Amino acid sequence: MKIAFEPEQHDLAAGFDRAAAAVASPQVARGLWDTETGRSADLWRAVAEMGLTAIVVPGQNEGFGGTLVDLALVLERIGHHAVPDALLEALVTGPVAIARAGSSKQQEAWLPGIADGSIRATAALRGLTSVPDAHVSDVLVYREGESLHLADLSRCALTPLVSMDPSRRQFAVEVPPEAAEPLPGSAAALEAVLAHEASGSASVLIGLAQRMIDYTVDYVQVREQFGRVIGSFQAVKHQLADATARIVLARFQVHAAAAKVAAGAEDARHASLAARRVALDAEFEANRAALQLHGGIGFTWEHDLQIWLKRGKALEQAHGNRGEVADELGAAVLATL
Amino acid sequence: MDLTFTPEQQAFRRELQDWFTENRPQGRLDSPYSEPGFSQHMEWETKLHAAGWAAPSWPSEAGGRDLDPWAEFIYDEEYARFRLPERLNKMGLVHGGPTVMAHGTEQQKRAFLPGILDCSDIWCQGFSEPGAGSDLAAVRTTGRIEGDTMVVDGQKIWTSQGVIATTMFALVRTDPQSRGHRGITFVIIDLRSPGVEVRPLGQLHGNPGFAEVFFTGVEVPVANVIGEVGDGWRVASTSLALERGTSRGSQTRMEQALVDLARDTADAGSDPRSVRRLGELAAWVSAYEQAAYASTHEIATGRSKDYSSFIKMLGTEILTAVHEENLEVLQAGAEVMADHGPNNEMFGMRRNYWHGRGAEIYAGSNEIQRNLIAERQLGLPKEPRG
Ligand SMILES: Cc1cc2nc3c(=O)[nH]c(=O)nc-3n(C[C@H](O)[C@H](O)[C@H](O)COP(=O)(O)OP(=O)(O)OC[C@H]3O[C@@H](n4cnc5c(N)ncnc54)[C@H](O)[C@@H]3O)c2cc1C
Repeated sequence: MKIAFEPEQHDLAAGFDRAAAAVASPQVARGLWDTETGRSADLWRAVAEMGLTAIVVPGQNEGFGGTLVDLALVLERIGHHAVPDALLEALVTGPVAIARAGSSKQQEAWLPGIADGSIRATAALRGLTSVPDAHVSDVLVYREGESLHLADLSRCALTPLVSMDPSRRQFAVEVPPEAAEPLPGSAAALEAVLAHEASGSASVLIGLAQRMIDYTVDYVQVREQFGRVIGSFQAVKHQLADATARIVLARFQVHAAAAKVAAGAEDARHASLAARRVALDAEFEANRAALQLHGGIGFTWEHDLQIWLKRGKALEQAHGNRGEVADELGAAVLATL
Repeated sequence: MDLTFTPEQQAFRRELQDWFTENRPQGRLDSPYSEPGFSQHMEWETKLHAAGWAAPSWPSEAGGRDLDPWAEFIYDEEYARFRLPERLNKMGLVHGGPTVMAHGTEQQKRAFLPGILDCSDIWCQGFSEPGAGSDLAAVRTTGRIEGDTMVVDGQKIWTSQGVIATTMFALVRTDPQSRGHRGITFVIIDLRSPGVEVRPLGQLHGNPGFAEVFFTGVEVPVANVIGEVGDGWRVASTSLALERGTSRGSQTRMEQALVDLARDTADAGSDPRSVRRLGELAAWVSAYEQAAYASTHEIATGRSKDYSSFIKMLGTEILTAVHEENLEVLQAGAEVMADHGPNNEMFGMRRNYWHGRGAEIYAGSNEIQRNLIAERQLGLPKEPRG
């Protein structure tokens, strides 16, 4: 039993923190809200230069042959910094799907470019009506029923949607029949791809949740009312304790799920659904408490808290919401009886 | 990251399983608070002890096997999985004894530990008093030191296992001028001494283990003080952290409660609302299990990041939620208890349900845990204290 991450995995996350401070700060994010793509080439370059694009790509396709565990802490930092890009799709879901379910021809065509960052992937496992970052991506992996498909995005029609979160860029995508290619191994790989999505998205949510609580803990120690800092009021402390406890327990599950998904454990899907659900609950509570305890200042456009609040709400729905995840997990538990 | 047990650990698990399969008591034992029940429990405890399974992580000098924290974890899981009888000396095994190991002298360890393992002494915890529950630093039971003897006067309450205990680890105020957590001493009191009166106190689920304990001029050797006189608060902190931190197979019992819920959900027709709720609860039960693993990892690697408040607070609340849902699924059937009259002890899920509600109160109520999390983990200002 070894519950800890490796030093290199921590180093990677710390390296990501340093890069994100320059290319993904709240000021940068705000600056991008009104640009046409909403995306920063600097950010993508930094991600590729750190080798993050190559982590889950197999060695024979110019990647590092790593696993979700290598990226788990980075995904948490992606949430922590509220990085606007759909990096879960680009770094995990897309490449994992192609690596696990693609033909060798498809793998050779896409994976080396994904590994070096010259090709960007996105993914839609829940329909083509809302695909993130389709405008800056080259290849799309999507699900139809029990099978996965791939499409060259340059041959698809994109209709931009307006997101509640000004940092998110969502598109309705139309894949013309001649551009759709089935991923031949998808029947066997679908479970694993879904587990990667659930588990990886849970990591992002934990990072978001922790950041909102960090912000709030700082704030309640300086804001005074009734002649005391508000952090000395028990009603305030208990809300923060509740949210923190959820984050702490959820994070254990999220890390365990990443390890199980990476190892292809028998209960990987179950663990990843549990991870997503507890991370959703933790984020939901952190989101609620953060705005409530900031009071009026948190509701202003000028305050950066909104970046995390809105991202959280968007990501609560993006990869299976609380109800859907619980329905699936509940059915899975009944099936084991 | 590798969440699998080593081959040695798996072998240890199998060894235990074999032993439990062969030696476990057949059928349910009577309550340890009845005479036949007490002998049945003693018989089981004696068997465990003779085979070295009373507390395998304890030092061999005391009758243990010096096993590491993971072995203890596996032991607790298997013990729970086999649904074996609740340990007669739970308080001694889980917090009393380990507190003596942490703060006691060699002589005290030799004097006190073996009696816990062979159940010649049964321990209880005497912290709470009628006026000192959450505010434990308000204890008023006094310990007047006269030479080598401490004379104890006062009252303890809600003492679990009090009616069968022979030995209490108690907090007493040894400095009459002191207030708050200063001037308190942690001492081991033989309840067979003159001047001790134990009055049984019922519990709402009918389990008769509770007691009030009265002390009138009870003489206790000062040699029974653990740590220094007046330093009891520090010693008690160890004991309290052990009480609320250890999972002791609680993750396994939680999983069992979840499986029972799943069965009842299926029997009731698996309506979509219940299936969804089952999924929500399964997710948190799983997270709790991982928290138990993570906290064992901390102990095993000697780092001991303190997760005890998180584990106590969310653990009890998750368990209660599982039981609440079970009552919900059983609907009107939930109130009906097969063959027990209104004044009898409850068994099964209904008893576990109420016990879980109690667990949200004892070992520092969940409100107190929230205060601790806010103050110790988040660094927020301390509660104003009187
Ligand atoms: C099943 C069971 C077994 C027990 N076994 C033992 C035992 O073996 N030995 C022993 O010594 N004790 C035992 N206890 C007693 C237990 O430790 C106390 O009941 C507990 O610490 C709470 O104290 P109290 O009952 O005095 O409640 P109070 O302190 O009066 O509290 C009442 C309510 O007020 C809340 N409250 C109090 N102070 C605060 C605060 N500062 N902030 C927010 N909320 C607050 C509490 O959380 C609680 O909800 C047991 C209790 C139970 C239920």
